[in-house]
Amino acid sequence: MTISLVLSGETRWDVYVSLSILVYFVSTSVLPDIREKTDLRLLDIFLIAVFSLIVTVRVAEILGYTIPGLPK
Amino acid sequence: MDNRFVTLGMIVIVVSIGFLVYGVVTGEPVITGSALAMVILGMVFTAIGLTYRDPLTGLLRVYSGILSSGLVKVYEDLGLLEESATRACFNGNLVHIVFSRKPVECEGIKPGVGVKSGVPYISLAGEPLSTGGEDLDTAIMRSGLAQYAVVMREGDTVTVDLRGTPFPGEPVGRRPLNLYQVIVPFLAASHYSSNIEVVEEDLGDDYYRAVLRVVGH
Repeated sequence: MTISLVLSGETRWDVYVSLSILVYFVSTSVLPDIREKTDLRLLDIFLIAVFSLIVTVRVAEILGYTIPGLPK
Repeated sequence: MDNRFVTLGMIVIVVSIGFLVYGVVTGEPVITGSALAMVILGMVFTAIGLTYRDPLTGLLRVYSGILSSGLVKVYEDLGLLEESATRACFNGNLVHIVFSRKPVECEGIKPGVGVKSGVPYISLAGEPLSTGGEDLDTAIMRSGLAQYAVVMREGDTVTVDLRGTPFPGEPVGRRPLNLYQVIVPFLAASHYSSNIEVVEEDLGDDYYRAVLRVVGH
């Protein structure tokens, strides 16, 4: 996935992060063995928080708000 | 915990942070983004390594909890070592492994020592174990209880044949309680959500065979 983004010339770092997070959740859902043998709740909460922050920032930009200190 | 995954995760994180710093300093967003994606990958590996649980751990926890219970001493004192009837009683919230000289009905069985219809029994209780939707023989093999497991059900009769059992099998009546005498009826009761009667049992150094009967709730 990362290689595909690099080859397509994607320059927004939050795209890399958010897609990595999505791939993580999809993979651990499709492969239940991982969740059966591990406890990934803390990691889930952290990644959901990061993903939510990215989405919030982008939605705010679309609505015309800018959050000082964060790169566009 | 699996140290290999932790090590791999930490290496990926360290290398990715190096690239991240380089990407930020040089202002290359592609490198920054790729490095962040690799940091997430490293975090996943580290989390998997830190929280990995051997599938047998859950079963051994049940077994060791039962074994360390003082009730096991009473089991020995009741003379159940030489000859006993075994039942697994399922009531939804708990599975009771009941040992008695003669089979007793599951209704009204409580944990500990008791008497039912004039027959003393000892009951060891634990929470039902989920097989995760798998067949019982698959769950047994995945848990590491046996290398090969065949579980066949015909009507109310369940035949269990385990080969390559890593835990030493001792003939019925030896101390301590054998793992398979406790865990197999326990698993069967959890899987079928029913009471289980152990009709026959045979243990050896690397095998365990049993004929179980599903006797309903």
